[in-house]
Amino acid sequence: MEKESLCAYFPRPLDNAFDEKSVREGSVESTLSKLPQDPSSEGEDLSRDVKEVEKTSSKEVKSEEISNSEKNGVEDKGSEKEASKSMHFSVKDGKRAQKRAKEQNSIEREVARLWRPPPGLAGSVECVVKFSIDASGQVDSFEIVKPSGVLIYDLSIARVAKRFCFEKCLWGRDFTVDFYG
Amino acid sequence: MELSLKKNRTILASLFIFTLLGDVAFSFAVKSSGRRVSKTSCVVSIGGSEEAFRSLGKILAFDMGFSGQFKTSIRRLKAKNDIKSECADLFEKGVDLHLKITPVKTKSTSKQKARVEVIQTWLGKRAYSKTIEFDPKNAVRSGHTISASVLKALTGKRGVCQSTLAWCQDSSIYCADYGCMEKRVLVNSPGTKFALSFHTKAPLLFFSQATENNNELSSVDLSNFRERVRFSYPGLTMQFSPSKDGTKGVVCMSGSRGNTELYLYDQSLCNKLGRQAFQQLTKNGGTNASPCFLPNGDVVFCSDFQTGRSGRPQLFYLDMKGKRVVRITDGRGYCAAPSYCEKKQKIVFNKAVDGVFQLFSLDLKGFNPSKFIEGRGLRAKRLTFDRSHKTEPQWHPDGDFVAFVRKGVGIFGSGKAQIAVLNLIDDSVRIVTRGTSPCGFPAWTNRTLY
Repeated sequence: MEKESLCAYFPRPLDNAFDEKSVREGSVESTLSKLPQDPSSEGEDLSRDVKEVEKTSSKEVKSEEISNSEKNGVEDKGSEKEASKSMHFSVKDGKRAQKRAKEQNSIEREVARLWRPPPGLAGSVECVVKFSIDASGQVDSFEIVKPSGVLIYDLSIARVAKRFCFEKCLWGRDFTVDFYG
Repeated sequence: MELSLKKNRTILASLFIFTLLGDVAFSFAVKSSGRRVSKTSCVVSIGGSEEAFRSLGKILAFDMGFSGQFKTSIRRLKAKNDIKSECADLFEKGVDLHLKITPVKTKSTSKQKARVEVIQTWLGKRAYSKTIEFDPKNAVRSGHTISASVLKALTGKRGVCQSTLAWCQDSSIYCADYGCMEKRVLVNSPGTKFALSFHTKAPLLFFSQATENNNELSSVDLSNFRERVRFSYPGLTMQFSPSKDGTKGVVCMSGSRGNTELYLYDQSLCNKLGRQAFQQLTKNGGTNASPCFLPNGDVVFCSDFQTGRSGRPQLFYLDMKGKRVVRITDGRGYCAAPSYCEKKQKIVFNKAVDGVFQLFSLDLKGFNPSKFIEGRGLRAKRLTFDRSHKTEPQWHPDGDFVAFVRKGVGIFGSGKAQIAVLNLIDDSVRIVTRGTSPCGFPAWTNRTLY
C-alpha cells in the first residue's frame, strides 16, 4: 500500500501519454483512493498533501515538455531541476572541455619548454605539484604535494618550477600538475 | 517528507557534480616519457687531506657518473660556510646536489671515519646523511658500499656499485669490482680458460678449462678460492647455465661426437641415482652452445643446426614442456652468445652487421613458444652502432648494464680485446679493463664477491 502511494508522487513514464488534466484528476484521485486509511490522520492534512501534489505535478508537466530527455523518448527519472540541468550541461560541457583542452595544451607547451626529467626512470614515477600563478602568469609559489619517492625526479621538477610562465588562461589560478612516467 | 528528500537529493547531486567538475578543471597531467632527458648535476666536496678520503670521494663521483643519471665534479671542501648561501650559490650555477665527505675523529688507528652528506641545493636541506667507518686499505669496497646507499636514496636503485665482474685474461681468471679498481687473481694455472658463469646462489664461478685430453668444466669458490672439477668427460664440456634456484643447470657437451648438444643436469635426480646424470635436451647434429636457463624452465641457446655449418648460427627457444624448438631470430647473419635478463625479460646477443659484431636485444615478454611461428623471428632492437666488434655480452641482473668484449676494427683493431660495459640508461660505453693482453668471457653478479 505504501509503495503505491509513493509512486503516485513520481511522474509517470513518458511512454504513457498523459496531460495536465489527467495528472490533476486521474492520478491524484487514484492516489487518494490508495492511501492507507489512517484513523489518526485529519482531513485538513490530507487536503494539504493533495494541493502540494497538484503543484508538483504541474511543474513536472512543464519540465517534461521542454526537456531533451522527452525529445529522445528517454524515461525522465529526475526532478524538474535535474532535467533542466542536463540540457545546460550538454552545452556547457562542450565549452568547459574546450577551455580545459586549451589549458592542458598551455601547460604541456610550457613544461616541454623547460622540463628535462632524469634518464632511466620512464614508466615508474609520479610527482604531483601544486602551482599558484600570479596575475602576470609567473609562478608565485609551488609545492610538491605528492613526492615521487625518487629524489632526482622531484629535483628535476623543482629546478624549473619557478621559471614556468603560463598563458593568460591560467593567470591568477591555482592548479596541480601530475608529472607521471 | 518525500518532497524534502527529493530536494536534498537534487542539491547533493548538484554539489557533487560541481565539485567533480571543479576538481577536474584544476588538475592536469604531463607525461615524462618521450622527452629530452637531463642528468642531475652533483658536486662532490672532499674534506681532509688524507689519501683515503680522496679515494672515497673519487669512487663516489665515479659510481654516480657510471650510473648514467648524474654528471659529477670533484672539488676540495671549502672552509665552514653558511649552508644556505653555499647552496644558493651552487643552485645558481646549475648544481642540484652537493655531496660532502667530511672526516670525523676516531679513536681507531686502523680505520677512518667519514660523514657523507647529500644536500639538495634548491632547498638547502639534507637528503642523505651517514657516518661510516672504513678501512683505508679497503677503500674501494667501502666507497662502492656508500655509493650504493647514496644511489638508493637518490634514485631508488642501488645500481651496479656492489657487483663483481670476472673475466679471462691469458691463462688466468680475474675478478674485481665492476669498475676494475681492485682486481685479484682467482685462478692461475696452466691451460686456456673460457666461458665463465656465476652460480645463482652459491659464491661459485664456473669455467671451462682445456686439458691434454679434453675440456672439462670446473668451478672456483670465491669465498676460499678452492677449485674443483665438476664435469670431466671426453670432448668438450662448457657453458654451464644454472637455474634460478641453483639446483639445475644446462651444459654443452660434445662427448666423442664432433658437435655439442645441450644437456640438463638436475642435482635432485643425481642425488636419487647416486651419480652424475644428464638428460639430453637437443639432438640435432648441429653445434649448440651458449644456453640460457630461463626462470620458467625453458632454454634459449644458439645453434647452426637449421642453417647447416654455413657459419650462420641463430638463436632458438627450447620449450621444455611442449618439447618444441623454435627459432627466434630472423635466420640471417651470425647470431650468437645470448644472455638473459630476468628483470627486463629480454635477451642480449651479438650479431654481425656489415662485417662488424653489434649488440642486439630481443623482448621475451609475453612470448608463447607454442603459438610462435618461425619466420622473421622476434623483433630485434639494435643497441650499438660504433665500428668495433662487440661480442660475448652479459646482461647485469639489474637490467641497465651489459658487459661485453670490445675489440677495435680496421685501423683501430691493433688494440687488444678489453672488457667494456654498455650503460643502457645513457647509451654510453666504458672500457673497464686496461690489460696489455686480451681479455674475454666477462661474467658478473650483483653480489660482492671480490
